[in-house]
Amino acid sequence: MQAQTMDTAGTQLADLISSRLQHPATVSLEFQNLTALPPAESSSFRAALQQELKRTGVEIAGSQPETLRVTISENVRGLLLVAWLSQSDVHFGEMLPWNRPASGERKRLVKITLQRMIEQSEPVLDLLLVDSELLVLSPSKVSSYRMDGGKWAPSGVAGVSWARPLPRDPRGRLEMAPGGFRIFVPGTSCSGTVQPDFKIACKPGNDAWPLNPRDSSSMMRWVTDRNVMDGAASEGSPIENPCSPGWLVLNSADGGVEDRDQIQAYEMVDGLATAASDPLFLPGPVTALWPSETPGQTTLVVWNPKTGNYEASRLGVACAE
Amino acid sequence: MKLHAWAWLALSSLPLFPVAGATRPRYGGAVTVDLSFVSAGVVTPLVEETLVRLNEKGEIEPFLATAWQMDPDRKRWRFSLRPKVFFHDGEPLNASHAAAALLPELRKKYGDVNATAGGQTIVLQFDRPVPDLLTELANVRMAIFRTNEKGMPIGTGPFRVDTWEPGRRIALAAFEDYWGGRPFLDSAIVNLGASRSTGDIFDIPFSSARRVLPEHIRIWESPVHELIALVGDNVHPLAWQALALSIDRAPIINVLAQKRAEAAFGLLPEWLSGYEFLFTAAPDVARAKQLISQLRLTPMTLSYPANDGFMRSIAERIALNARDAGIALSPTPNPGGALRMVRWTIESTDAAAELNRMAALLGLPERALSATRPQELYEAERAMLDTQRIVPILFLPDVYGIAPRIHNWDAAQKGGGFSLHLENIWVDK
Repeated sequence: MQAQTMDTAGTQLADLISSRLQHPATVSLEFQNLTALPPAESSSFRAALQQELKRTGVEIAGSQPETLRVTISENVRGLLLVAWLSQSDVHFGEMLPWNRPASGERKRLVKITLQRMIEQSEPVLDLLLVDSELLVLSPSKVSSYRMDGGKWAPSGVAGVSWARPLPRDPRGRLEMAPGGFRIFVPGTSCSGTVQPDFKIACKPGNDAWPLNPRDSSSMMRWVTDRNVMDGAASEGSPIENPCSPGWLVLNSADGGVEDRDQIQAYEMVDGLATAASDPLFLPGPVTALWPSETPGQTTLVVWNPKTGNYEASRLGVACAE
Repeated sequence: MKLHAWAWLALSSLPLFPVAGATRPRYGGAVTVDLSFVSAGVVTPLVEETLVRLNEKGEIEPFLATAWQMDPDRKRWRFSLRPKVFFHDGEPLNASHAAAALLPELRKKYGDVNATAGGQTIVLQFDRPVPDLLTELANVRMAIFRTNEKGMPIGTGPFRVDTWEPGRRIALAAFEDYWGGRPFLDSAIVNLGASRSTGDIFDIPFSSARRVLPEHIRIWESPVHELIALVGDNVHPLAWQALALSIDRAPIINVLAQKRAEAAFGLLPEWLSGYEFLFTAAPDVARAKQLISQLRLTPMTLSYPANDGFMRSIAERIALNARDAGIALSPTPNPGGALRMVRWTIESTDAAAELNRMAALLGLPERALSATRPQELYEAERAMLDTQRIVPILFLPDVYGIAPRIHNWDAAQKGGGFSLHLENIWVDK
């Protein structure tokens, strides 16, 4: 179903109501919001609806014999607009599902910067920038995106067939390779190209995974017989310190709220890991945190339980003012 | 600047990092599930899977079938099965298995149906249009499974049945080759008819006796999905209206259900329909008395299920309300009363299918409805209520106690349906 902006939903509902009234019509309007829609948005919708009703020839006035009750309700499929008109002995209702566009990005904190790349319902295992293409590794495919009008827009998809089923907590890695890229998932290694054709070839294998593109010695290996990753190193990701020589580690930890993680930068001071930033609170658990191919950036994927989507971002660290 | 290996290792392996607190899941471990009131059906989907399923928005999505097509008449349906799916005994799933499992169940509902199975493709041919086939195939009754010589189910789900003592205990073990990825847990023991609350997960039934819960237990409630209602046949229309007006749901919810229930005025709860609030009506004893003032009513009996203390309490409460309005009701555990208390479970997130299922329970004809057209659903539900054969009383959730060692519970339960999703939970070591 196509998303309806507030104005579109207001127009559609006003047209439905107007079609059921004898014109000219004057009604009193009662309005209620039974959902978690913010009051400001609810008020804006009411204003948009009133304007649209006026356009269709329906006047709103106080204390009229005909009362229009408009409710923003919600069911399992999403928001539902319910209009109920009472005219002496006649009652009728109109219902319109309202498929709101997804809300925008959430606020970012100061010291750790977060740039949202993409959001999708399928898990995102890793991201890789190859020239002007953004590659997104999912459990069943690799998708490519190109920047279009300031947003990453889909430009291609290549399906992949793994040598064995992925684990329930799937991990995967994308790495630059001469002429293209490589994919590492448990029990399978693949090679791919973006140009001239977007294609991927896979083979069974338990190759060691590269952890950090700028350090060929940091590798980790999948334990195939237990279907799990060896070690917990992927809960931290090294990143260049932009403010002084050395490195920081971005580390994920329990955010103190059920199933919500946080990210915090740490540095080594006198041999001790010391917090170097305020925590960045995330909307859900971290599912991937990898060093990226771009210096000064780390790939972060968070599952957002409110939307059910995986949000893939690039984290950076900026000097605090 | 090059990050030396030693620096990376030092930073990532230091115990001072709070990695232990991160919510990344862990594999391994076992849980115990004690079910006292809820049936074993809540764990069936862990073992057996269907061709398609309903997601939490009530939309059909692929499951064991990855694609399907139908002809314009909706009589011929073609399903492509998911590749690389294995039964728990290692046998690969193919279309012949699907046909063997589906045909007996489909014939119960649709009569004549033929299946052509070849490789990973199954074609179902009906002699009449079957527009609701996908919703039907999402029902757990249509699960694809085989049985072994002991009658134990061999499915394709994330857990296999290790041991099974009917009516007492089911031991589940993680299926290592599950197509959707091995569950985090190694195993789960499900005790049926349990009278204790000592498991990691246990149901908390609605009953007149309050249960003492262990410390640190978290209470989790599913969305309300059980309707408690009053059903009657051949009751005078004015007496029926008066009875409906006399019922005060607030004390039932606040006292008997300990504030865990929702008042029901429609047949579908608000989360499913989005319009249930339109049916809301306040009790009006004065109006009820007025309605029956000219009638000579004889006392009526109100049947409630024997051995169901909660339903008995509600029946007694309704009888009190009715008496205030001048209607004599006698609650009885014996069946056959003019009125009866019923518990109807909402089985899916498809509002149209649920409404039609309730219509069938009331002996009313099925209607062509679509869950995407709420106006149509509302009109059908209004018509069912206007038959004056049912008065909704309240909606109940399933209530569970969850031990602190269980992680990812809330997110895991969003997996669709009303079954217990143990495949995505994990436990502390």
